[in-house]
Amino acid sequence: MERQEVIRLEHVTKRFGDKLVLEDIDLSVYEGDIIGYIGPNGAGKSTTVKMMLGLVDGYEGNIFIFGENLKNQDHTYKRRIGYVPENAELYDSLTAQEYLAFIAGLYGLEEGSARVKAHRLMMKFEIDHAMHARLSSFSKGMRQKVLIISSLLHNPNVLFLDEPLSGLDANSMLIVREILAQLSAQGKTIFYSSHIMDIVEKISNRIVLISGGHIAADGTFDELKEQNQKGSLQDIFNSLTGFSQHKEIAEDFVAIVQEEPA
Amino acid sequence: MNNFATLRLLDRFAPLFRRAGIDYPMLRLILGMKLTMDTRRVPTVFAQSKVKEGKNYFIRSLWIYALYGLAVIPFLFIDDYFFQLSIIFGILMFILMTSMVSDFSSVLLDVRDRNMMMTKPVDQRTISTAKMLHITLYMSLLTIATTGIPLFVSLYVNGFGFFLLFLAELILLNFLILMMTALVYFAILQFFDGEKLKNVINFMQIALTLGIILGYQLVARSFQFTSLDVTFTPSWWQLFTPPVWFGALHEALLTGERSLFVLLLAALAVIVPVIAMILYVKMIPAFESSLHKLSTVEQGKEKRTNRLKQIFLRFIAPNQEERNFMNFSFAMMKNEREFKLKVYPQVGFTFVIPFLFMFTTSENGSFEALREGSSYYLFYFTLLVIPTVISMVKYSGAYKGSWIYAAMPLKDRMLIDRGLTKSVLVMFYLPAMLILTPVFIWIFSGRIWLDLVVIIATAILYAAICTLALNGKSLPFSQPFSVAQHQEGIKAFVMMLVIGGFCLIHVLFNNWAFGLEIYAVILLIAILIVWTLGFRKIRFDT
Repeated sequence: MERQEVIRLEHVTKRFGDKLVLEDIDLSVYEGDIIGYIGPNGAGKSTTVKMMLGLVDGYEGNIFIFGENLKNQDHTYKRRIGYVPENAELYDSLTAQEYLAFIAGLYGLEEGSARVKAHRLMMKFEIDHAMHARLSSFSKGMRQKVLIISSLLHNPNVLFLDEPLSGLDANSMLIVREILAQLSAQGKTIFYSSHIMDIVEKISNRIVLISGGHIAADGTFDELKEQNQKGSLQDIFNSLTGFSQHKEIAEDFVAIVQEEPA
Repeated sequence: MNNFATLRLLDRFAPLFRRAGIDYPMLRLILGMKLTMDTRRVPTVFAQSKVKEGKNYFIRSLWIYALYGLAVIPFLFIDDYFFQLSIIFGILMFILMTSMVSDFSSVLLDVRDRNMMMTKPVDQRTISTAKMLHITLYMSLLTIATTGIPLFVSLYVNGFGFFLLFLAELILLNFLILMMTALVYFAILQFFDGEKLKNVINFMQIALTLGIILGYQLVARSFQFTSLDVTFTPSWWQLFTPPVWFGALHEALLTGERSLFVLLLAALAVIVPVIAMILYVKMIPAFESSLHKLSTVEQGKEKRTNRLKQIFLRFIAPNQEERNFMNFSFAMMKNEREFKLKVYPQVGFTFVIPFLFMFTTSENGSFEALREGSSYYLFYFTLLVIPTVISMVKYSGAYKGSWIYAAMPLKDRMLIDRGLTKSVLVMFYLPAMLILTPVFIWIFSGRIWLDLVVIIATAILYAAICTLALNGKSLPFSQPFSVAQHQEGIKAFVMMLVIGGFCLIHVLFNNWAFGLEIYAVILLIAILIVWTLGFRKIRFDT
C-alpha cells in the first residue's frame, strides 16, 4: 500500500522581527510516521507546529496539509488534527468532564456520545473518579492525561504532541507509548516533540532534528546512527548541535553552588 | 453549563447570527463555557478545599451600580430634553466607560483564548464574536442595573415616547463605548510593539479616563444657566461629546427642533455607533492577530540599581526581609499586565480630581478667594488611589507562583503585608504627593503645611487600615483575576467613604487652637500602633 503524504513544507522561512527562526525548511510527512521532532530550545520546533495549526502566520513558502495549501484553507482542516501543547494552559476552573465536553464541542462532536467516550477513555487512564473535580485540583500527570484525551476525542489523522509524557508515572508512560505505536500502525501521523532523547529514540520511526532554523538531520534512528557513528540519540544530538562540554559546565556550576558567601 | 438564561435568550437570535456567517452552536458553546467559569473562583494554594460554587460574583455586586444610577433621577424632572439628557448621558457614559476601560480591557486584550481555541476547528469570527458578546453581556447587565430605576421613573414622569427613545439610546451608547474602546486598542496594537505597546496601553487608559472627566465638563458647559432657563450654546467641540449627541437626538425627535446643528448632532448619535460597529466587525481578524504582540516577551535590559532609591528603601524598611518583599511587590506591580490595566485608570483620577473640584468652585469666585479658602482639603482625594491598588494586589495572572510563600522559610508573616503596604505607598502615593504638595503650597501658601502633614500621615495610617480591611488573610499576588471581581470594588468603595470620615475629623480639630497639632500627634501614635500591632493580627491560616 502506497503511503499518502499528509504534510508538506516547501521552502518555509519564518522571521520574528529581524530574527530568523526557520530558514528554508523542506519536509514531507506521510501517514504512519511517528516523527521524533527534536532540537535545542529556541530552534523553532514549536513555531513549526504553531504554523501548521494556524496560530502563527506571516511566513514565506508554502505549507500543505492533507494536500491543500494552508493559505487557501479555512478552519475545517483542524477537525482532523489533535494537539497537546507544551505547558498547556487549561481552563482549570472547569471540571474534567466540562472541559472535555467543551473541547469535544469545539471539534463538532455530538454531546451525548462525546461524553460517554470521554468517560470511557478516562476510565482507561484510571482518572474517571475525578470526572467532576476541577482541573485546578488535578496533579500534573492527571492534567496530562486529560490533555491527551482531549486531543484524541475526535479521532484525528494527525497528532501534534509536545512533551506528552511529562508528569506521567512509569506505567502510564508505557500505556501512552503503546497507544502511539498502535495509532501509527492504523495510519495516523504523529509529530512528537521532546527533549528526552531515550524516549524519542524508542518511540519514533523517523527523527527530524532541527537546529538553528535548519533541518540538521532527517531519517530513521538507524540511518542517523550510521551517518554519525554514534551509539545513542543523545550522542547524535550532542554532536549535531555541536555540544561537548557538559562536564566542564557542570563542574563550574557545582563549584559556584558551593562557594561561601563573601 | 449550557443552560444559562442569557444563552436561552440568545437562542432567539440564532438565525441572525447564522445569517452573519457565524457558527451559532459553537458560539453558544464558547459563551456557555465562559459563563460557567465566571461563576467559579479558582481555589488558591492555601485554600485547596474551599471550592465555592454557584452565584456569579459580578451579578451579586451590581446593586452598587443601581445606587450610582439614582444620581440620574433628579435630572429627569428638569423640563428641557436637551439639557437633561446631555447630563444624564454624561453621567452614564462616565460610569460605563470607566468600568469598560478598567474592568473589561483585560478581557478584550485576552490572549489565552487564542492559543486555546485557534488550534481547534473554530473560525476566528466566531471566537471574536463570543468574546464581544461576553463583554456586551456584562456591559448590558451593568447598564440595566444602573439605568433600570431611572428608566421606570422616566416612563411615569416623561411618558412612553421618551422611555422608548431613552432605551434605544442606551443600546447605542453601549455599542459606542465598546467599539470606541476596541478601536482605540486596535490602533495602538497597529503602531506599537513589545514593551512599549504595554506601556502605551496603560497610558491610553489613563488618557481615556481623563478624557471622560474632561468631556463631562464640556457637556456641562454647553448650556447657559440664567435664573430660570437653560439654553444650549452651540460649539464646534460638541461634535466630539457623545452625551450631547444623545441630548440632541431627544430634542430633535421629541420637540421637533429643526436647527441644522442640532440635527447634525442627533444624526451623529445614530451614525457613529453604527459606523464604529461596522468598522469593528471588519477589523476583528486583524485585531485578533495583532493581539499576539502582547504575548511576545522582550529580552529585558538589565536595570541599573538606583542608589538613592536603595538608601530611601533602607530608611523606610530597615528590616532586610521586609525590604525584600517591597522589591518583590514593586517588580510584580510593574510587570503584571492585568493589574496595570485595572489600576492605572484610577491613578489618573488621583491627579485630576482635586483640581477639577477647585476649578469648578473657583468658577464662581476669584482665584484670590480660592487661595484664602479651605479647598486644600481636596488633597484628601489623593488617598483614593490607595484602596484601589490595595484591593487589587492579592490578584495576579501568575497566582500559582504563590507556592513560594509556603515553601520559603518565612520568619514573620507581618513582613509580607507591611512590605506590600509600604511598596504601594511608595509606588502609587509618593509620586502624587511629590507633585501635588508643591502645587498646593503654591496655591494656598505655606499656611497649610501642617494640614498637608496631617493628610500625608493619614495616608500612611489609612494604607495600613486598607491592607487589614481589604486583604485580611490573603497573601499578595496569590489569587487569579476574573471578570467577576466586583465585590472588591464594593469593599474598596466603603473604604473610600472612610476617607470622608478622616477629612471630617481633620476639619473638627482645625476649629480649636492647637487642635491640628494635637491631631497630628494622635495620628502619629495611631500609625505606630496600627503598623506594629495591627499587622501582627494577620496570621497564616491554612
